[in-house]
Amino acid sequence: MYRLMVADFNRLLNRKVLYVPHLIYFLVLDIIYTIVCNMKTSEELYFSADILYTDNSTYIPLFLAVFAGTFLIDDFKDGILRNKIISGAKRMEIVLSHAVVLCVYAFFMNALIHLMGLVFGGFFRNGYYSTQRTLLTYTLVHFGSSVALVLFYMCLIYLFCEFRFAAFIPLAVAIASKVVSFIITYDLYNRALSDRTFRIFNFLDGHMPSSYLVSTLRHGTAEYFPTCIAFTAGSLLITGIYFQLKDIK
Amino acid sequence: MEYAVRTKGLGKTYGKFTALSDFSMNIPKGSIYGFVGKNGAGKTTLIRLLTGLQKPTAGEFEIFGIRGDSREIRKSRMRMGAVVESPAIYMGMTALDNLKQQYITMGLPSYEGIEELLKLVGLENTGKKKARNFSLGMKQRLGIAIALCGDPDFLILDEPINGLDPQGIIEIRELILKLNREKGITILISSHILDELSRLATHYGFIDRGHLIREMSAEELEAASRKSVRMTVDDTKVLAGIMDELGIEYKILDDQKADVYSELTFSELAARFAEKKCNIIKMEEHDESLEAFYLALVGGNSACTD
Repeated sequence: MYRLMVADFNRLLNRKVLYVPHLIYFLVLDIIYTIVCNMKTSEELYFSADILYTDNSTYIPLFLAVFAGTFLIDDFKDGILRNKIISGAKRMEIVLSHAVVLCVYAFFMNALIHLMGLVFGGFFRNGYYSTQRTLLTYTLVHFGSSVALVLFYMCLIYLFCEFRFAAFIPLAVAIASKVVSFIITYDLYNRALSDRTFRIFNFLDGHMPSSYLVSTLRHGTAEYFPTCIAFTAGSLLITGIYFQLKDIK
Repeated sequence: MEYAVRTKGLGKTYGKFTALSDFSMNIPKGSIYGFVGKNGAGKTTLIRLLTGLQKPTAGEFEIFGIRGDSREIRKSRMRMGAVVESPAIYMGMTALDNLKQQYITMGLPSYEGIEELLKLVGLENTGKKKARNFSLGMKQRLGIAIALCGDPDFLILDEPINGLDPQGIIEIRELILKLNREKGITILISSHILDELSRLATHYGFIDRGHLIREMSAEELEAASRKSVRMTVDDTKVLAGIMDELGIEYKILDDQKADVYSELTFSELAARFAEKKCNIIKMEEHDESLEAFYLALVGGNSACTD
């Protein structure tokens, strides 16, 4: 598996076109946020550096979806995956190698966002509202849900790789789940819901990794981490079994 | 005789569709095995089974004496290179980087031999040009170079000349012959371009609707096939009359061309044509062995005569 990982990382490092825009995007976004939030506002409007640390994470699923889609579909489209099997690689090794590369990408994505949050957070007049422990929890939850999501997107690509627009499926799912989690969160905390609807919405809010990547954590780590682990393990298992049995064209 | 690949009763079905059935073939070591069949006859399916992309639903196969269902088959596959359908290329990388990537994937200890491979396929001067900007022929040659990484003993080429221009076809043909003669690599080529196959193959396997209908060497094919003389004359109606008189089998191709299936005495023929005031413009021996043999095997309406 090591040789496959080296080959995949080599390919990852070659994708300058992908990671340069990330850097520019977050840099620009953080500068704008910092400037806007530090502008003289009315007395009751209060901005802390937390907003920078957490709000950027909202966009993580979109970046993960685009990356997983484009990185993996190239393997399927250009016959690379076929060639790996012909060259003697085990199918499970191929899946795991992809998973590792995607997780490493998710890690750097999170590291970049949070590092920038810390750097630019220093420019906020009001400093941080949350404690260091809370910020660490944010970081861990964000990383856990990023891993869960990127592997879920990987699973989607493996399942639908023969579709013409397979590369866009993760992005479509990421946008849809973002919209759904936004609606759920809004209804949950701003509208009077029936008892049954409340319970359903509350369950979904606590068990959808995409809803963890928001400005406030609304549930406990006892809900977040088991959900992330279940998503991660489930995605890997489904991808592995499906790919093991799949007839490659 | 030693064999690189043997299959016995191999079968593959997709739902209710049978792509291969009771398929038994033998590819001798050191041969260029021409795998002939129409589009959809099952050529690529067999290749997918041999390369491990798909699993057979019946029968068995062995590569270099190791059975396909054995754990050791991966070792046999390490001695094998393949270009299945389209070459497996990282489009955003150069030819050199593509080969490096394949070396890494195969776990080869160093990049030794890459320059030689690039030279072998004529891509040594492509520099920083990305593979996506290569011509179809260059991509095909790069695909073959990738398949040659790790010095394989057996090479599978699935329709290697499809879509290539005449120059590209010649380059690939020469490369295949070179690999076989100089490196002793056993090569399986699937193609429906018979004329091209007949210039390369030392052995043939004819496949139709998932069945191997005949397997033979090039010598056996030569012995089994008919020769003809292609005649270009003023009027093939006159030619038809003369051949009918002589009781010779012929086939009219157009108003001026016909194939005649017999040993001909030129002086006698010339006298008869002069008598009927018809000119013989050209006479040439026409070797249609593979094409005619294939048509006789699978019948007409073939897509396999291009």
